[in-house]
Amino acid sequence: MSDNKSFEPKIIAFLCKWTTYAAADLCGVSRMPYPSNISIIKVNCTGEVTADMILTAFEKGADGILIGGCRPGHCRYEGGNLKGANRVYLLKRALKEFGVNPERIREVGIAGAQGLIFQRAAEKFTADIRALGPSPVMSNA
Amino acid sequence: MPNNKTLAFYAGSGCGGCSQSLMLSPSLATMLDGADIAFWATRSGDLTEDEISQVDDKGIDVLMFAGPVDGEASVATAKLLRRKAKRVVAYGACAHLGGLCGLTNVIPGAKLRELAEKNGGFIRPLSAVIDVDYVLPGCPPPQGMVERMLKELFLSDDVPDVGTVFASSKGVCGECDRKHLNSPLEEIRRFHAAPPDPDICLLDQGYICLGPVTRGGCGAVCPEANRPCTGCAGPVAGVLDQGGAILQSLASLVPLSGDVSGEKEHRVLDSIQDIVGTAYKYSAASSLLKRRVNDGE
Amino acid sequence: MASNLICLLPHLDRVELVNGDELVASVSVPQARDAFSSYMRGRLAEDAPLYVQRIDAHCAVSQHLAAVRALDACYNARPPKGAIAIRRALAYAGVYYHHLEQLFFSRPSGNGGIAGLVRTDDELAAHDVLQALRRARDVVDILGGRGLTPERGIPGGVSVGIADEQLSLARDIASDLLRVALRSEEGFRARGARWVEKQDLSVPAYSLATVNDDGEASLYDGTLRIVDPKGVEVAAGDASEILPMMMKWKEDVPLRVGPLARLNATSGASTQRARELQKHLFDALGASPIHRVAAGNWAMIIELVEAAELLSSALAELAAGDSALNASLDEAGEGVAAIEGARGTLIHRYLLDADGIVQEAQIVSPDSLMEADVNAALSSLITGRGREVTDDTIERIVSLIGSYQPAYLPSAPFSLRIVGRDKDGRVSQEWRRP
Repeated sequence: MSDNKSFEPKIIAFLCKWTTYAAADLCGVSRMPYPSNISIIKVNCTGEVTADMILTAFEKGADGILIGGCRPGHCRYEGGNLKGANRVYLLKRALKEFGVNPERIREVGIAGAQGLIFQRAAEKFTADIRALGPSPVMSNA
Repeated sequence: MPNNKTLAFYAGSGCGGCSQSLMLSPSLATMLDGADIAFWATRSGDLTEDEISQVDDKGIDVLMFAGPVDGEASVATAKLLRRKAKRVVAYGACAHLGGLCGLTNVIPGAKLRELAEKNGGFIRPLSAVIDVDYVLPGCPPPQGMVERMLKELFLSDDVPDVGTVFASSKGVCGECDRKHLNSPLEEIRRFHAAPPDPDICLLDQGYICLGPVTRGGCGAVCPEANRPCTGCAGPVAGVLDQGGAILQSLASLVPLSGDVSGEKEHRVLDSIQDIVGTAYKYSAASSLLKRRVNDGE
Repeated sequence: MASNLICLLPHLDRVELVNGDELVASVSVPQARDAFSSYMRGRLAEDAPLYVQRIDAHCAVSQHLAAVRALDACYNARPPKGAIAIRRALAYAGVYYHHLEQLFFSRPSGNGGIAGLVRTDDELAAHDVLQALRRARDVVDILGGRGLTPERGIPGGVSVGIADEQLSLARDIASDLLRVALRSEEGFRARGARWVEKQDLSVPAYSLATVNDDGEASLYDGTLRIVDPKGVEVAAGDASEILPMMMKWKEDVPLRVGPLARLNATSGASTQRARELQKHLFDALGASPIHRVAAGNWAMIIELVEAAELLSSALAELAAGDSALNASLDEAGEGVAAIEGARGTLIHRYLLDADGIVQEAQIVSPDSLMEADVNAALSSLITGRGREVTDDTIERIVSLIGSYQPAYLPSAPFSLRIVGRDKDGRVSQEWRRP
């Protein structure tokens, strides 16, 4: 088994530009560092995140996937975030069938001004993924 | 019109449906007229490594490869065959996607995994082990698609571009005659008690149909027989993971309840049974996830 | 032997010939029962008929229908007459197709093969046979809905009816198919019959076949009947009664299925032309029970005629545009059913949970039953004939396996490998036919 202490998880974050992405941006501006394990991909809405995007992230080596969008009721595209959430819900069922721990995907709803909350969420997720260990998906030949 | 090409057919394992689909094609005689056949193997036992090695490298103009790559031996054979052929066609769902066999990559179960390990591995699509020039999808490829492939490969002076898939790049829905009602997905239905209304879109009626994410070219025969498309021709152009795509579409069709907990939506989504058999019936092995892994279980 | 994991029916492509203290020939047919059940566990019940026909596409129609009927049993559903009529016609088209494919395309060519025996020079060219095969496939397509892999069968009925034009087309084709079958049989009788008469290899076995209410052969559904080597009935019942007997069958007393078994376990074909043709067979080889292995070929050719006759009458009974094609389903449970496929009796068993999800699945196929029979035959062929492996030995083995063709050789054309081993088990020689 891998030595979790030396394992640095790779995390891909799909962040909605109106909310969570702005919060992450705010972290940077306010000098509130969040773990460098996280690579951010800006999307217009979490409803834009496709199964191909999530699964490709896993295939390319992501150990964890963070999806950050609007809180329910706040999506400017009228429920794009909820559609996205429904997709992730179903995709997690598929991941389970493939033996992948669905906890490797986490969804958060963080408003643009909540930089600190983003920092904390990012740190927690990174720690949780570190504890889970490397994703076994990448080692598929 | 004699075509003066050297061709070969190889089906190492598989159910035999692809060999039959080719044999039954009305254009077969025309294709074979003047063609040189390097070999026509319908079982792996039909052809030894020595016999394949005796063929000149690039000595075969078109090699049609059917059946799954299901272990070290077949990987080696595929690589050897690749050397001997100018162009390779992945013939049928097993070669294209891993096919129904691919479900064995995902299903937990001691006996089945034992068999998989014995065979030296797991099911892979042909393109995972060699460069594939063309794809003829289907389980087995329907007659129209076979005819199209024969015409473009053997009965024409032009050579199709590498990457050609002998099917539509768009979904089966384009060929399906059923009426669209754009109904939300409020209840998943199965083939119990009464079959669907044959005139209305299956998804509108709550039956899971993979038409939207599956390549057309088959004439939507399954919906015509009042059965759902099960995805045998693989994903439409631009989609990498066919199972993910249909799950994504189904999730998007569930109406938003306005309830923050999402309980109503979850109930609908939870009622989808046999997720892998439904979403990944033919494509489990070519999913981005490829096979079942051990994630701390 | 590479095999895909859904392709779980035993495949025979080699005979082991071991030259130890004596010469022993055997086949070993891998059984993968548990693997099939593992594969099917968790699958939707109504998907079973789609999966099983890709186990071996050379009996796709039989597998599809066996699964559908087993599902009827799981749901205690009684399909309406219209649905049964469609399924029945599909079954006969399937038997015709599968027999024709085996007869002409799936034999090793040693000894000219059966195809060589059947084709008299100008009478029946390969082209004609291939055309007949295509047209038979077209009938399967019309009745089953999806080329060679039907999908019309659902629990309790069929998914949709047949359109008028399609039915007319199928009827036209059916008469052509009968013509080809009759010509094939004529050709066989002119040359092949004498060959059969010269084959003296005989293996006594129990015979299992499906019979109708009059005790005649049924090439679809009915009562399963087992007779002993003397032709005396030892069991008769439905699949759920016969299945446990088959599971407990002792290896040293072969249980035979298929065309030869159908000669012995029934009072003959149920159709007129086929019965007339069977008279020639019985006149030449004696009354049933017949255990001369090569006779199975002759029986098979006559069954081609029988299937064509049955297809025509089944199509005549079909009503186009019928919409009463489904029965209501009870709560899901366990179900067993059999059909008489081209290769022999095929039994499916499923255990479903209350949601109609497969928990257990089992197929007892003709192939899995034939291993004992083939080994008994090989043993008779080889034992006591000395230790030398001559060309004649090899040809006899090839011929023998050819006679079991329906059960064993699914692809066309293929090679039979005979692997010779010395007494230490090392491969010393290998023969391939062709």
